[in-house]
Amino acid sequence: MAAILVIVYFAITTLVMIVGHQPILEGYEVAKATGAEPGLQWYWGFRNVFYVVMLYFFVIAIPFVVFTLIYQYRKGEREEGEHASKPWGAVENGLLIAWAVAVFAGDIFLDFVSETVFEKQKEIPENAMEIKVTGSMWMWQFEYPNGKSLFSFYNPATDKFENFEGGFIVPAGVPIKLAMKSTDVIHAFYLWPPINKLQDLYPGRITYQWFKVDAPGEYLVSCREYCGTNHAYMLAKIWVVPKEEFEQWYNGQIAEADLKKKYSTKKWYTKQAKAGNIELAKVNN
Amino acid sequence: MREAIPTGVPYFGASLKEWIFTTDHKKIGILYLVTSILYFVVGGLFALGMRLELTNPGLQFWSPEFYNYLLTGHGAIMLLWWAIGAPTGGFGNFLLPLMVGARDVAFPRLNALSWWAYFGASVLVLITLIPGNHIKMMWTGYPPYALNNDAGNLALYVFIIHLLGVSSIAGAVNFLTTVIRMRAKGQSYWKLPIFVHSIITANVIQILGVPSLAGAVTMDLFDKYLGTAFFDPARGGDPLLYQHVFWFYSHPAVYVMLLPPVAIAGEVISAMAKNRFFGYKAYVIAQWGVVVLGFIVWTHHMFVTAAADWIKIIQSITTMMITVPVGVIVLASTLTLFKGALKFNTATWFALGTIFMILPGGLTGIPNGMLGIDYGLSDSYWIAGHFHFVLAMIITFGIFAGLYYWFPKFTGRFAYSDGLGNAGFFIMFVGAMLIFGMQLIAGLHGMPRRYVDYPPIPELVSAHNWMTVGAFLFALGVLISFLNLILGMTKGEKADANPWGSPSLEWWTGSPPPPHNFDKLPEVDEDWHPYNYKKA
Repeated sequence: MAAILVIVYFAITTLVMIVGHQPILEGYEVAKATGAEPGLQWYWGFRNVFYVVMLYFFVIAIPFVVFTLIYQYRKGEREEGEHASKPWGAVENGLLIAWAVAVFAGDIFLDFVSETVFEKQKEIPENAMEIKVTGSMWMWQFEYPNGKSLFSFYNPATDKFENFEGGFIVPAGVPIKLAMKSTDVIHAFYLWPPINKLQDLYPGRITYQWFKVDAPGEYLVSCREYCGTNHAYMLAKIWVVPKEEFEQWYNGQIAEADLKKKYSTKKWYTKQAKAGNIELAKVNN
Repeated sequence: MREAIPTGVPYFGASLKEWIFTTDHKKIGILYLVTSILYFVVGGLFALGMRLELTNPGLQFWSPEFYNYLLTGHGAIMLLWWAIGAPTGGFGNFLLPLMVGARDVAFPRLNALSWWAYFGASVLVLITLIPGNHIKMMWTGYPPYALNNDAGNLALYVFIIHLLGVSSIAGAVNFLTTVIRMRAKGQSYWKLPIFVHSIITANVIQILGVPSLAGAVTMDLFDKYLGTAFFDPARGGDPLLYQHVFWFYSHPAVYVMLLPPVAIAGEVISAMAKNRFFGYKAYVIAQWGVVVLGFIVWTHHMFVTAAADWIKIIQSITTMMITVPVGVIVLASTLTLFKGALKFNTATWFALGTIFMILPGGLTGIPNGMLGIDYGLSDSYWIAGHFHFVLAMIITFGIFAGLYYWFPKFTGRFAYSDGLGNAGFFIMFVGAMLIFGMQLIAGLHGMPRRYVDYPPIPELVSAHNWMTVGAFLFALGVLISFLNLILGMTKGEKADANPWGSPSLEWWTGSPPPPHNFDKLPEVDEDWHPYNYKKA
């Protein structure tokens, strides 16, 4: 009975680890297909880290399960452990030191991965277009270099998420530099997957983040630092549109609403979006 | 030194007056445990309330204001009452003097004061249940939001923290003095049970860290009510400063909560496998490693803030280094099973559960500690899943392991039934895997923390549905476990003084112990060790 339970117990945890791995792989594919940066590097880094983490997991978990299965109390023949009074010897110290050294080495490797991904993501391309982002309780404002300005205010009582049209428009394939500040409390500008980037906004200082997406469509932004009652409704959408159409809108030749309607392809992170994006990538090639 | 006033035998049948005026560490320990269990139930009900709301997108049950109150309450209560109160206050008070062979703690009256400060804070928390007094600033209380009226009554929050701080520091001084000055004759530091070592390390963190937290929230208070300008940017302050000061304590605080339950699991595993603790000295050194490293990693809570890159990079590396001592602790606990004779009962299951939870919990922490990766994980459900595995589950399972293991010591009886206890454990385990595993997955799909509502993305909706199922399963498991213990108090099988055959000093006296703990103060010889199971 105990043996079956131990195995069930191990299986559940392993399953969680493996099932949990799926979103990372999917995210990587979607990021590749949409050309979402720096999300691509992020998923690449995380996927590698996951394998090291799985390694750590099995190094501990397998002995743990094996020992609980084998070294059990049996009346009359095994009533106390073989080390009940005999002290552990030099082997134990050696094993613990070896383990500590192995973990240390693994950490150093992961530190390099972390540093590489961090430096790559931090570099804001020089040809980036700068958009000023202002967060306040509970709305976003986006200001373009030529003074054009867009808002996003989501009213949970009247707005529907699916056809909500607050947010901003950016050209496809052009890096966007975000210069962000807050007017009241701390907020965080979160670009949902497949971009998957985050930066806090402060009153009284300016913080930066950047992104670039190749595939036109509708992407999602929201606040990810708790900021009060309507924190969950501090949403905005990004419409990524082809460069020519963006120029036309930027110069006032086409209406904003038409452009938003045309590219409302709902590329939030879903399986449908993934299928759609991969098709799109093929067309572009 | 004055000894505690003996107040009747056994403490179970003591009058109300005795309970109120007691300075007996065992009674105070029981008071701590009962209070923290009551608040665990309250915090759990808050969590169920949140799960109801989040099952489906849209607002079904609560307003965003009330949801934010539930969330703040759940976090603060579970951390301050359950995670610190039960292992350190409850088990620490009851067991530490027994484990070092003392008649009481060093300062029994200060110990009573400690509990009364804790109790005072407990009563004040109930005030926030009144609709006008909801606190909605989250347990972190970040300014400038905490200074905003939307956040609720800051003064009340700060007063509660101050009371708990008094309680923690008084308790810490008491425990440390007891261990340093009142150990049994012949019991050196290397002959203390690892649980005592965990209480020492946890309380060293409390003494060094609590003043930092108290300072941070006091500056918050002055900013709001006295017009100072520490954090308010409108007057030239800097909210980033609060985050640094706050996390300087609140990260090490995680180890105050974590080390004792992990040590409890270690005690149980060693006693149930009847095997000497593997790498006992390495384990103790690793605990100190956690303390030292714990104080230089706080910026990993702030990787997406405006903090400088250089400190983020340094503390990203130190954060990764935490895996070295924690790895030693996990491996030592695991290898204690090697060549053992493991007895399967409810205490064993909960102890194994505690150690096992370090795997999904600790390993999901590795990507969080990596600066380049954390940019996509911070403030998401991934973080919520991570710290619920690593904190909430290790602590809860550890406390239950301790409750089942020392239940004979507390009450003189065993828990009602092992079958019922095991059922409780497995229901809790599956429930926990569902809730927090799904939180990890929802986090990878982008679900942000602290949301009352979320976009109707199919992956998120199904993850949230499963989380609610898991939450109710978990609650059922907790209910069964408590029922088993409560029935055990009156109907459980009677236990003798040392039912598990452990040489540790708390078993050298009756169960439950008499008011003076030991008829004759224990003295130990050179051969003795708390994990030396040689037949006497």
